[in-house]
Amino acid sequence: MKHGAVLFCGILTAFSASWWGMVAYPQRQLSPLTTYLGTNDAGNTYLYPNARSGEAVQGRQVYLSLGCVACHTQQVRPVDGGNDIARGWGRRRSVARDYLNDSPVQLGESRLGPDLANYGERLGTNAFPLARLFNPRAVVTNSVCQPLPFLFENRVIRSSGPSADALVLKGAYAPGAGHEVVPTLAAVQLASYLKSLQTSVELPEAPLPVVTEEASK
Amino acid sequence: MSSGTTASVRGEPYEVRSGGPVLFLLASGLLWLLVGLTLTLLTGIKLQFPAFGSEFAFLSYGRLQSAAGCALVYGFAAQVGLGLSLWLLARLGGRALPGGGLAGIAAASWNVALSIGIPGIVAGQGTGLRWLELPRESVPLLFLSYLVLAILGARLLFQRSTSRISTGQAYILVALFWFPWIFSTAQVALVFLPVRGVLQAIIAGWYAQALFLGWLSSLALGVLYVLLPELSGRVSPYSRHAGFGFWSWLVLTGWTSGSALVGGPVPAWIPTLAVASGVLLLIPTVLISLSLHSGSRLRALFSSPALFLATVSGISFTVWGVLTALTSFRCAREVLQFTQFFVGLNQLGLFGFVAFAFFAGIYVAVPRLLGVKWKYPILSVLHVAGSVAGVGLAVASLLLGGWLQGWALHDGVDSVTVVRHLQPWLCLNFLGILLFLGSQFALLLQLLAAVVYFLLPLGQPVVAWVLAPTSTSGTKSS
Repeated sequence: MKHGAVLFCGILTAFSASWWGMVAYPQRQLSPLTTYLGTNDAGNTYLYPNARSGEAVQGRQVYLSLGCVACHTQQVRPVDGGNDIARGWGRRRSVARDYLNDSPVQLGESRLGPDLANYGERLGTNAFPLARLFNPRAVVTNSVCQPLPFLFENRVIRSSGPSADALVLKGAYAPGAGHEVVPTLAAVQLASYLKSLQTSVELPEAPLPVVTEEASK
Repeated sequence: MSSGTTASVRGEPYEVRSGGPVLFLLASGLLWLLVGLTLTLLTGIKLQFPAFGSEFAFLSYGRLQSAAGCALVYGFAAQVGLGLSLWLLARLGGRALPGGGLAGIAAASWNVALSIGIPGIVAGQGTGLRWLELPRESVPLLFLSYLVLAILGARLLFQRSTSRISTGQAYILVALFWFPWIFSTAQVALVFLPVRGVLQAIIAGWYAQALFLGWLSSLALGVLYVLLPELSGRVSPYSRHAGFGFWSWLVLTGWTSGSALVGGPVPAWIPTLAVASGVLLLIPTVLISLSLHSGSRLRALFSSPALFLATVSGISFTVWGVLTALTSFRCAREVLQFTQFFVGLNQLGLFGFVAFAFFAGIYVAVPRLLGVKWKYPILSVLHVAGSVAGVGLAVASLLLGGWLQGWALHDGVDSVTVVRHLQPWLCLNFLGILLFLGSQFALLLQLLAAVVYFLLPLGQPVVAWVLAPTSTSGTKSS
């Protein structure tokens, strides 16, 4: 190569091309995406995605700060792209609209733990088991998820009686006699965020699978 | 640097005068490598014993992993890569590094920015975006420091005394400008004025791919293209393909990022384009590998640690490039996506290819910069053998373990069982990294010895001056 100027222009062109292709064009394509206004079978209208509650948004910061994304993804791949739906991690694939309210997006790139895109849905009507954050092994045998005891307070039971929020812990995980483990605000916020992770809403670009009578049996 | 006398003795003024900042970059880069590998080992312990240090938030797996990644990329690879680039550009262009003081200040402030940023991640201030976790406070200083060093490097290239630009110089030029380009885009679009929704994931993916395939690879290829022919004394019979390899690599690397988003919630054309460009990436991988191939004899390889490392680095590049290309296929991603296979592939790229190329550069550069030969060949042997064995073990265990993890996940085995079966492989990876880390102390000792031998003659007047009042006038004359 003899001409520095030619080399420099070549490099600049290659950079710009990939920038226009992978940054500017996707921005143009995805920026018109807005909240979806749909009607369910009962004739009621719904908005999706809804903004998370203030508590859940705070919990999202806790999730972010602890780096939970290192082991948990939040994306369900389509049926022809993996077995996520067969594993029960979601009823439909994840689409761009699911993430409209989240910044930064925590898609994740490693699955040392289960996918969490629909974690709240898997809990159903149950409250989030806070003991799972205190020590995952208290709830899931042999779990390799790390305990987060610093999100809890191990304190002497007050004279007014045990706290209503105290965790029910058994065996090796139980606090000493006269002590109780109560969640801090950060633990409650994180639980609220995890509970808010639900994406099984019908969208034009991602319809929910029709449950046939045969399948439901 | 106060080595004007050494310069005239050695007859290599351009090398020695730019020595100070370059040596500082190399040394601090190696220290960050120790930090990064230690943090990686801590994540390895967490994966075997999740309760390890769980009372402390700063020992969270996620935080340690992010801090380790940033220490290795921005602390180690960036600094050693930049140091070697400046040295090579000055040497090949027959110029002294202009504004040595400015370069020194930039190098120091890069380290200041990292010393703010990496503890920030551990304290929970990270941004939560892969490879961009450094807290925003540390970013402007980091960016400015890089810009100063890159502009100084580019000036060396454009004021060169030769008319030709070698392939090595071209790769270094790409590297110098690629980083500010991608880093500023990613910081603005993701941290300072964040775009909405999955667009963030698309840009973060583009950044990560450009960081490794574009920037770090270009730095390492620049070093290899200069050093391999020099060390082996042979030019590859395929060296004429280097030009096409360079351009095709440059054009394709920016487009392969979507392969990490196969099946993800993004427009379908992004992964499709990535599959196409990923497969085409085989062309530059083969061309670059051929044009680097020196055909050295085994005996020659074992006689020089630098040549051995550079050759291993070249082989790692080929394997890494081919695996990156093959795993961009949808069928491969369906099974391997989200597994430790890609962590292993990253370690192959970052350690096997980039770090080994840089080590080779250090083995050549430091003796010339200091005007002192390596004193203890046994330390070099220990360093090279430990590094190659350690990285080999670490990478092989994650590639295999990740492969098995992928099939287990694909077969619907529950998450806890999958990780239990993965743990022995993670343990092997831990041992590999431990060996890699341990062998770095041999290199540091070797460096320390070289610096001591360099300082000895400079220190003589000082010793004489210190001794002067206590000694008699008769003995002082000696």
